Amino acid sequence: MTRIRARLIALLAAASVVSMPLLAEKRSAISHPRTPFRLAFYKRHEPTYQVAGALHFAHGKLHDVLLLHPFAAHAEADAEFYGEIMAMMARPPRVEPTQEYYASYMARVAWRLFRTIDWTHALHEMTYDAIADPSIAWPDKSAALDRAWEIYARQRDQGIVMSPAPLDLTMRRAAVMMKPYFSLTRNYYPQSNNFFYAAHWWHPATYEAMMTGGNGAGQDRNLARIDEVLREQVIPNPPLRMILSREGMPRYSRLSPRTANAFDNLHMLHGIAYDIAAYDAWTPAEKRAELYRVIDAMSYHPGDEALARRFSVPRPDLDPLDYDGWLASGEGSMNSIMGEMLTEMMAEHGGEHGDQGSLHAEHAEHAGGGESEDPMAALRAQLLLKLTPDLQPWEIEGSFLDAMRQLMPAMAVAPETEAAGQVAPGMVAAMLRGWEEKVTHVEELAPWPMESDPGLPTE
Amino acid sequence: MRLPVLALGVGLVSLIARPSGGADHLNLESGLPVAIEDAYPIPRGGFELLTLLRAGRFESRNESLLSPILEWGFADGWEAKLTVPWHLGGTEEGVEEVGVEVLYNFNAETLKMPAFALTLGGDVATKGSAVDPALGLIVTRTLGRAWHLDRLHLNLGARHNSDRRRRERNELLRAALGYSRRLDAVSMLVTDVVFEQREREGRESLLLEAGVRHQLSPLTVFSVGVGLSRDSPDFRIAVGFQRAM
Repeated sequence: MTRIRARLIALLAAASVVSMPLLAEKRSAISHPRTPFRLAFYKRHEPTYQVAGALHFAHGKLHDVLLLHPFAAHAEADAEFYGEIMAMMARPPRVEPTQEYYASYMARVAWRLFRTIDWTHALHEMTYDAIADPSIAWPDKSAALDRAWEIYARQRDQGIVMSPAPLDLTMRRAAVMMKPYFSLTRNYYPQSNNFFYAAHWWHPATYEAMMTGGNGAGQDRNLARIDEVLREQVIPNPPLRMILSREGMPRYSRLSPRTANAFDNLHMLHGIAYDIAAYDAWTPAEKRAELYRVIDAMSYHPGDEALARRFSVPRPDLDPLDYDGWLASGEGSMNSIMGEMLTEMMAEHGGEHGDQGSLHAEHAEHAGGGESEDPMAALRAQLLLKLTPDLQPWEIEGSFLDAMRQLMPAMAVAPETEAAGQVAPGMVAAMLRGWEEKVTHVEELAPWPMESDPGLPTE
Repeated sequence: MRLPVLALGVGLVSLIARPSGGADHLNLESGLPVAIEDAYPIPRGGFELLTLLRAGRFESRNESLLSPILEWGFADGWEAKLTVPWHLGGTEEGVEEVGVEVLYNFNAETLKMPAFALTLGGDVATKGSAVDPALGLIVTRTLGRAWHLDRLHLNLGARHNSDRRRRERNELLRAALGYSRRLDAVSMLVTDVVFEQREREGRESLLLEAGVRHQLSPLTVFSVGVGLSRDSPDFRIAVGFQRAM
């Protein structure tokens, strides 16, 4: 009997070992989709293509820098990595690396994260190709971009397609503001973080420079100038916020809102993934659970496409070659969304609404909180500080949750808030209700007219 | 007669396939430029044409080989491969056999578990009807924190010798242990040691190889490598091109 039991145990153990790879996550690599305009951007604008290669090196490697350095060593790790980024910018790679190539540790923690990023980077390439290909007549660009979107969206059953809905909706679904990792990278790795703010200026600026340059030589001139502006103005003086598509590429956003929103969602996913990687208190398995929860929230949901045009463009006539003070500042759509979300969440808790969600510099004067201050105003001020790169005077150390606990010690925090892979459903529902109410006042964004090539003389 | 049929078949496959994969210098391919292969297939829908040119002196014979290889990621985790080794010069000139293989990757590597793949295939003789079936296991393991993407690869395989003659082995075993490392943004170092039983009883080979895989463009990989056997000065040089279609 004992022998039979021993054999049975051995058999079960062997079966469990053999079944492990069968039950593990599949590796489904994604690479260049075949389109009629494949590699047009690479062939026409190779120096600009190489800039994207350097940016995506940085995007990939930062995952492992954050995962493999203790959080306490953030200043040294940030300075060292920024030096690596600058070296790569000086000699960018000839071919864009996949995320795994410089971040094999994160690849082993959360493979789907890298599939999502690489696949959405492929969407970047396809859409750049569509506009760069001079054989596609200007009025036909829209159809080519639609084709790129359709190729991209075919992978939605794999859970790696970013949502075509505006970030306003997906950020509410993701509900990361109260998570214990929120804002760690922005506040504790400011050089690396700000480089990505520069990168997220560059991507929209590149699209928009092509949109204003047209199919001919104007496109080449504009892109050469964009690369100069990146190196001479933006990297030395990066934006203090993540610039959204609607801000940095208003014409392209009107032309292809689905892809524009997908890029915003990807760029936000980058930031959230870095925060999760930087958070020391969770195991790799917990980080993976949280990353996959966030990807699920920010990826394609049925019905998202119908919402693709439900946002407004603050500066429809933006000159992409002019990196001005508004682009460089911290105030913009990103902070507006975060302020709205805070208001919606606090309303759920029965808190004061304050000024209905806006976040402005004047809130900083309330940052210290204290008995005589309005705690809601102080919390709003702390959020503004958290959304500002680096640690600021009056900023409470740690995450925004840490700040909230200090300012509002009696505030109950849902158990899901601090758990990896979970979210408080009531909180999400409150924010979604808030957005649904707001979006009724947002008109559908009109398509961008493409009848005439802007690079050609008008009759 | 068989080669035109084969060419037609390849052409049909290329028409049917809806390619989406780019050649990737990170994804190791057997023979380009060394024998070791990783546990990963080309992407689903990917279709690649590989060309291997190998020359040297091996087992007391001059060797020149031109081998076109077609790979197709026909399903998620699956790769099909067709190899047509064309011997140039010597007594074996021409195509004596065609290699057919499918690879199935079980999983993405995790921090605790390597990536595993199985291969199943065979060499089909162009003259006669002999088919030598083969089975293989591939394991890929990233080492530690892997700042330089250091990886170990283990390839184990067995091939049945269907057309066995006197003093020949029935089953031929092969084992290879490889190491790969990122050199820069577009180049990988690949080395391996390969133990292989020859058909003739009592004969085995042990080969030490090193090479570089280099990404020339988003769709093209160039590779070059050298191999030395324990019976040096036997050696071989391999040059390969890999192109996504």
